[in-house]
Amino acid sequence: MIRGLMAHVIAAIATVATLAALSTEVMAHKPSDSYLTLSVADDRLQGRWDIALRDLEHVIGLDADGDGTITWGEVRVRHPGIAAYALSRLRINGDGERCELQAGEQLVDAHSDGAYAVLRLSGTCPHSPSRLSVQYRLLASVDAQHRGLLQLTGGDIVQTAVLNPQDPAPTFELYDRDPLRQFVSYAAEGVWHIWIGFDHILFLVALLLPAGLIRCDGRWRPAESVGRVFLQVAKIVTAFTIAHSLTLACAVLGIVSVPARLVESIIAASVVLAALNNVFPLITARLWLVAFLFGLIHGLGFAGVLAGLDLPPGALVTALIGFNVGVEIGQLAIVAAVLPLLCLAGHWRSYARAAMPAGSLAVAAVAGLWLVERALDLRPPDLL
Amino acid sequence: MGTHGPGRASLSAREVVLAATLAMSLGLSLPAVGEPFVPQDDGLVLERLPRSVIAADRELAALRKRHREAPDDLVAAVPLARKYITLAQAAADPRWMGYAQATLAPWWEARAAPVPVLTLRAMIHQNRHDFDPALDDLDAALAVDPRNGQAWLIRAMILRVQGRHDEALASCRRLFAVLPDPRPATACISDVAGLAGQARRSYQALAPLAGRAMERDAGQQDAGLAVWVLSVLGDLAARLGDAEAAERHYRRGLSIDRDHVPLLAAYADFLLDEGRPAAVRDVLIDRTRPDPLLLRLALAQRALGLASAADSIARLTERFAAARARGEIIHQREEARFTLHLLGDARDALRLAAENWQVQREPQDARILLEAALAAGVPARAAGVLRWLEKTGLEDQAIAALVERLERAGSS
Repeated sequence: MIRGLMAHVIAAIATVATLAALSTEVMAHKPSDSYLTLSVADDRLQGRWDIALRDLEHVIGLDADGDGTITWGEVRVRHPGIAAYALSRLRINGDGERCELQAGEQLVDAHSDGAYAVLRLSGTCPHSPSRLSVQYRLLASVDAQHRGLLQLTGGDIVQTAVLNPQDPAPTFELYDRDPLRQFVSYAAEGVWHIWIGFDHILFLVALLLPAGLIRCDGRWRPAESVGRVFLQVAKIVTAFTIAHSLTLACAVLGIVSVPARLVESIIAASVVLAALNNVFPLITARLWLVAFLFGLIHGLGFAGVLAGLDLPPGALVTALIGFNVGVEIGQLAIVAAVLPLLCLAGHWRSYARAAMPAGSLAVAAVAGLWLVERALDLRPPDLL
Repeated sequence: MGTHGPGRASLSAREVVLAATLAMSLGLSLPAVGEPFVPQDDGLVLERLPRSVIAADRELAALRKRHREAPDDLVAAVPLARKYITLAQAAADPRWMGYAQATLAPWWEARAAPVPVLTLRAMIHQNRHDFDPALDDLDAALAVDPRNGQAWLIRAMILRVQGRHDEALASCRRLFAVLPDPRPATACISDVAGLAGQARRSYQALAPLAGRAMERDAGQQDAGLAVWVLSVLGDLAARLGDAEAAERHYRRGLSIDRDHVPLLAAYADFLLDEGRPAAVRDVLIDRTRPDPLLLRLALAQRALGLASAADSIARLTERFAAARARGEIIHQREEARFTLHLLGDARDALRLAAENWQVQREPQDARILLEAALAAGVPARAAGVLRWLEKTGLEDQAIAALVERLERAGSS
């Protein structure tokens, strides 16, 4: 009886010591977390997993000499065990099929609550997935408050999630499923790439420089009406647009494939020719046909850019159309800005005689330089 | 889940700096980069296990072995869970609470679990600020075992945190009946009554116990009681304005248990109020792994105008951010203090303090809300707290001064 009471007293008083201190206010702020970063490109996975040394010490033991400190040597030696434990608690499926994961290098890093073991991860999925499920079971039956903080990069979005080992595996869409948002984002890319695509712009500019003029009896004269100028420009730009849309689609869909160096060189050549044609007019009618023919090559140039944007396999058409629309908008913006000036310039006498030829020669010179660089593969890795 | 637009994730410069300062402040000789790295030296110490954990190693191994062999056996699970909870407090690391919770997994969802499980479950809930589930578990335990002193004590303490003083006192009084030793009950009553308009009387009732507790052999159990008694006395003295007595009690408490985190935090707050930030630094040196102590150190460093304050602030920012990343929102009291006094953002501090006030109603919770309301220039937001203070009759000279300033600000 007395023993029982004493046990109560002891328990009660021992409680006192722990009691106030049970408050979260006296502890390090948070329970255990691990940090898992994954990125998916095509069918390849890459990532990094940060697991607290204190957690590993508890589940598999790291302090080999039992001196109360965990040294790098002790962690390094346990790398196979750490990797095996971690990988046994993580299962990733791409579109329902299991992806193989391997652990690479072992490193360490410091987080706000202590030192962590860092595992480099790499892997492959059977196909390029559009959705990923992550079954996270680290410390599953060991720590009921442990969570995995996931950062997943795939396709065009970055997502974060808090993974609970007790919950069923969540699934993540790797591509932004909202068609409108996808469309807009690719359109934006299209606008951007025409703005930074100097060679495409220069080609257009070269074709448009004589827009305010017409060739008559071997001489340049101011165009009669703004309406006519407008029509002329519209035909050229539209032909260019249709042509590059066609080849862009073919290239992206894999129907056509031309070596990049050849494409880039021909694009540069097209600019040279268009510019020189202003100085030594060989083709004065049906410039829209010129625009169309060279537009086909320019389209292949865009395809290279688009391929670099990691297209969603399920939404290729949206991406294509979006990108194209973006390119159109960019083009039209440039043309709209330049057109009024060109109309006016047509009436300025020295435009036809001096400014326009001089400008064209300058364009030809720049493009000629590009042609040499690209044909001989001299240029450094560039933006275009 | 959150989604961002098309973009590439990368470490910002700030994260690099944070990680670097953290690494250095953890006392590790890691290079000043935020990226993971491969150390060159096998002997590099990456992590130091807390002394309490090392000391418990043998006992823990034995308990874990027994539990592994029979995970559904109550007799194996309860001692292990209890040990984990003790270590959580001793190591100031809530991951041990997670281990305890996992140990009790077979009974975690059961409403009518065995009494030992109920009390341990209540402790784990209380640690995560899930006060209502904790009280439910305690009530269930007491329905089966009304003479369970531990349950009455935990219940009293939770009700005290919630500001439900009358109910807390009722729980304290039960201890006279169920425990042969009247000291825990006396301490409990003084603790609670001292918050409810009886500060002087509580002090006088409790002060003799401090002497008597010390006279006994310093066994583990008596040490725990002595520290509790001394921290309550220190708190009462500080609130009543008797700085000399407060200092005496806090120091005696620390002489019994140098590492007692709540006591260190309370003493540091007292020293900060007394305008003695240098003393705070002396007391907290090498003891800033628990976040509440790091906060007090940062406040002291700021008061002293030290450059190291920026480092501490960066570390605290990172710790709060890490907690938020996993969805934790239970540290608003400290975050409010941090936001107001170290970041200078009164509006955000007020928001945090108000959220905190929904859950906790101790003097510190009232105080930070009043400070934030005053600093943000919206004294009206303090109205609820002012009414509560009047109703409960809390005696606290710092809070009284704040109330006066707020009333002047409100009427102007």
